[in-house]
Amino acid sequence: MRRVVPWVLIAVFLGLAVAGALTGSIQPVFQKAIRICRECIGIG
Amino acid sequence: MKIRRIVQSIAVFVFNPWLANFLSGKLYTGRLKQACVPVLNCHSCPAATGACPIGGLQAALGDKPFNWITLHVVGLLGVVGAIGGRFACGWLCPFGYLQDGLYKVPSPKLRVPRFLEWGKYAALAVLVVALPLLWVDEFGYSTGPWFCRVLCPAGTLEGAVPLLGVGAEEIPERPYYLVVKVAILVFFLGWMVVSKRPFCRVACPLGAVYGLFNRHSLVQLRVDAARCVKCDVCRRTCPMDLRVYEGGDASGCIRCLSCRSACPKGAVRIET
Repeated sequence: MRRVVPWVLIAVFLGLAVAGALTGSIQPVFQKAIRICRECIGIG
Repeated sequence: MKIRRIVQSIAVFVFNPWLANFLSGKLYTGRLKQACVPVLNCHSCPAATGACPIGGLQAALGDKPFNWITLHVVGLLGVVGAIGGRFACGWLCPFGYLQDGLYKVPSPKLRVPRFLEWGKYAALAVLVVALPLLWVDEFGYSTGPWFCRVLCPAGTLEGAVPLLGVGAEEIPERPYYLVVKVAILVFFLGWMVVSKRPFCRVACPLGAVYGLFNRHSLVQLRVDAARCVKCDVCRRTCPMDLRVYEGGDASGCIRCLSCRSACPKGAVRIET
């Protein structure tokens, strides 16, 4: 029984990852990652 | 555990292959930056190839109105955690690798008080989730990635030091956050010499997330109680200072398998 749990978790989170990718916009994450994030380095 | 060292070394270069950018102070801006890496690796590091999942999560949570890409980032972290718990901390994380290395520097050694380990959950709940999600300015925009801004020493080391070093960014007139972050970095670097993986245990929100999955992850560590003589060799060799016989699925276990190699009785095994 216990060994079923990780597979269920993997399926649920994989579903979340796919659903999120299909319905959301990656732009805020991408834009933050391709520019120097001044907040991230403590100068913004 | 030479093989873990090799894997950690390879992971450093896989997540940070653009070394020439350290000289120019520019960032890699290709499509790979759309993907989050599974470890704490600042995306403002000139050599970084992907987005930091904690930085990405804060950016997603801070986007208004609610951006469903948040579920994508949470889903990715969940998949990695459900497969191996904190194995990414033990085998792939460059900042964890740094801590393993610094602890080898000869010095008096100190134990980290257990209660401090709750700090990483506070960092996750307050700095990563609550503040970026709930604290907005007068225009309704998020006030930013608070974990990165006030705490993350990985961002200071991988981003601020090289970028300010080559003059790609200028030190602001009132560098309050920078002063705080540099102080935190110096503090943690010193602590890493005397204690085992203090940042992972006390402040890393990514470790906190993955640790929640340790009990139910696909890969499990098991201790054969009949063989174990509680000699504490596992604790001495464990980079997280755990007594593995008290629970191989403890949230602190980074699945490095050092205990399995070191156990004189062969009591530790992996189970899937």
